[in-house]
Amino acid sequence: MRLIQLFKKELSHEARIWVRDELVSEQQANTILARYGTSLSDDTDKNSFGYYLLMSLGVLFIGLALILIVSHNWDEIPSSIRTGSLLLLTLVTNAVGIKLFLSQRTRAGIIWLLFGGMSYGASIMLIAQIYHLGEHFPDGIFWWAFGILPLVVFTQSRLLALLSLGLASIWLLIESGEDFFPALYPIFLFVTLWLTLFQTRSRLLFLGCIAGLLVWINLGLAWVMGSGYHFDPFAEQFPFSLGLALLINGAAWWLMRADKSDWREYGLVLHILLLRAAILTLLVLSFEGVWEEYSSDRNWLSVISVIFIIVSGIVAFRLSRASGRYASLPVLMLTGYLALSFTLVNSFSHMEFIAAIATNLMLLLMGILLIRRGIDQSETHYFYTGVVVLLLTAFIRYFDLIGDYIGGALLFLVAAGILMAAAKYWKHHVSLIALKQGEPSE
Amino acid sequence: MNTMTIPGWLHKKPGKRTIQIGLILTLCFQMAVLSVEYLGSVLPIWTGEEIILKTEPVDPRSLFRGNFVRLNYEINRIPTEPHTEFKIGGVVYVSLVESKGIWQFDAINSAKPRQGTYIRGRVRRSDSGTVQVEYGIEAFFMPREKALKVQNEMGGQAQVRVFVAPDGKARAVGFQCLGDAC
Repeated sequence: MRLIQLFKKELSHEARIWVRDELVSEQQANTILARYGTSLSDDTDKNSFGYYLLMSLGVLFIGLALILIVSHNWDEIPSSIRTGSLLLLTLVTNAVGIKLFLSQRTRAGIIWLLFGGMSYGASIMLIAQIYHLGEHFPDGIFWWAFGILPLVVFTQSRLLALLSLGLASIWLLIESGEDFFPALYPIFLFVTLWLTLFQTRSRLLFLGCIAGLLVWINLGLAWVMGSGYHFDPFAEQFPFSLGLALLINGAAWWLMRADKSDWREYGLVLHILLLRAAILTLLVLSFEGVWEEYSSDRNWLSVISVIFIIVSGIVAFRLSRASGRYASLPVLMLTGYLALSFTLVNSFSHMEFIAAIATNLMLLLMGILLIRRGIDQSETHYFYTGVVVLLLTAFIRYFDLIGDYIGGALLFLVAAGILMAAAKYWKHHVSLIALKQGEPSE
Repeated sequence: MNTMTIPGWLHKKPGKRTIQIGLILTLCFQMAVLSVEYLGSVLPIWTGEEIILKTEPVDPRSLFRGNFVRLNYEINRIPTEPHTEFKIGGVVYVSLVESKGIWQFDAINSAKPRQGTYIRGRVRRSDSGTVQVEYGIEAFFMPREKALKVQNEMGGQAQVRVFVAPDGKARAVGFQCLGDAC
C-alpha cells in the first residue's frame, strides 16, 4: 500500500481543483479518488468541522470556568447544596445532549454530551472532596471513564471515545503506579477498537488502542511475575515486547491487504510507526554497553522469550508473505537476528560484543533494503529512511567504536563490502530485467 | 486483497430505539454512580459514632483531587506478631479503645469484631512486624493556604474527628481545634 493513501483529504482537495479547471470530469475525478478510498465530496464539510471543533473546545473551557467559579466559594456553600448542584448539572447537561442527539442534531448533541461527561467526572471528584474521601482515588477516574463508555457505543462519537480512552489510559498509569493491576482496561480497548474498525475511522484512536494494549500486556507480565500481588518487571520483558512488535507488524501487513480502505490506512500507519521504532531500537542495541545492561541468565524465562520471538516471527511471516518480499524479508531477518542475539547473550558469557556486531550488520541490511524498496516502489520516504539509517550507523560507529581502532576499521570494511556487494547485485538484477525485456542495459 | 467473514453484528449500527434506551440507561448509570458515592460518604456520618484519632498532616496536591492534607494516622501503621501475615488489599478490622479522649489501637482482625468500637480498613503493605492499613480517611480537602496552616500549626499533634459506622466504615469530618487552622 502506498503512502499517498495517508493524504486522502489533500488528494480530494486537488481533484476538486482539477474538476474546477476542467482538466478532468467529475466522474473521472471520482473514479481516480475511489482507488484511494475517497471521493470529491470527502472533506467538503470542513467548515462545519471547524465549527464543531471550536464549539467542543469552548465547552471544555466553560466546564473549567464553572468548576473554578464553584471552587471560589466552595467552603461557604453547604455540602448538601454543593452535591445537589453537581448532580443537577450532570443530569441537565446529559439530558440536553440526549434530547439534541435524538432529534437528529447529532453534533450539538455530542457537544452537550461531552459537557455532560465532564460534569459527571467533575462531580465524582468534587463529591470526593466535599466528604474528604481518602479511598483509593484512581477508582474515581475509572468510574468516570466507565460512565462515558456506553455513550461511545450509542453515539459512535470519536470525541467521546477519545475522552473515554484517554481517561482509561490515565487510570491505567495511576492504578499501576499505586501498585494495583488495571485488569478492566481491555474493556475500553475492545469498545474503541470496535468503533474504529467497524463503525468510523480514526487513526489516532486505533493507534492509541495498540499502544495501550502493549503497555497493558507488559504490565500484565510484570504482575504475573509478582505472583498477582505487585509488579515485578523482569529483563526478559524486552524480548517479549520485541516479539509482540513483530506480531503487530505482521498484522499491519495483513491490514494493508484488507478490502476496507480504513483498515489499509491503519495498517500503513502502523507499519510506518513500527518501522521507525525498529530502526530506533536497532540503533540503541548497536551499542555494546546496552547488551551488557541487559543482564539475563539462561533460565526458563529467557528460553520462553526466545521461543516467543521465533513463534511471533513465523506468524508475522505468514501474515506478511502475500504482500511480497519487502514485507516478509525484514520479518525473517529480524526474527533470526533477535533470536540469535538473545540466545547468545543469555547462554554464553561475553557475547555482548557479538550481539552488537550483529545489530550493526542488521542496520546495514535494513538500510540497503529500504533504499531498494524506495527505488523499486518509487517511494521517497523509504529511500531516504534507508539513507538516514546507513549514515546514522556510520556516524554512531565512527564516534563509538566497537572494540579498538582496528576492530572499528574492520567493521567499516565489512560494511563497505556489504554495500558494494548489494550495489553489484542490484546492477546485475537490473541487467537481467533489461535482458528479459530486450533492452540494452547501461 | 484479504477477504474475511465478519459477523454482521459488528458492523450493525444500533437502531433508534436502542440508542434512545441506551442513552437514557447511561444517564441513569451515571446518576447511580454519583448517588452511591454520595450515600457511601454520608452514611457513616448519619449512622456512626464520633471518635477522635491522632494524626500527622502533610500537604500534597493532586491534579485530579485538588489541594488536600494527607493524614498519617497512628493507626495506619500497626505492629503485629513477627510471623503474622495479612493479604495485601484484604479487609481488616481494627478495634479501638479510648484513652484520655483519643481512640487508640487495640487489636487487628480479619473478621468483624462482635463488640466494641472498630474501624474497617484495607491492608496496603505488610512487612515483618508491621502492617500498613488505610481506612479511606487519609485525605482532608481544603484550600492550599489553609492546608499549609494546618501543617505548620498542628505539626505532629493534629487530632481529627471521625465518624465510624456500625459496619466499621469511617469518614473524617474535621480537625479538633488546636489553633487558628481549624
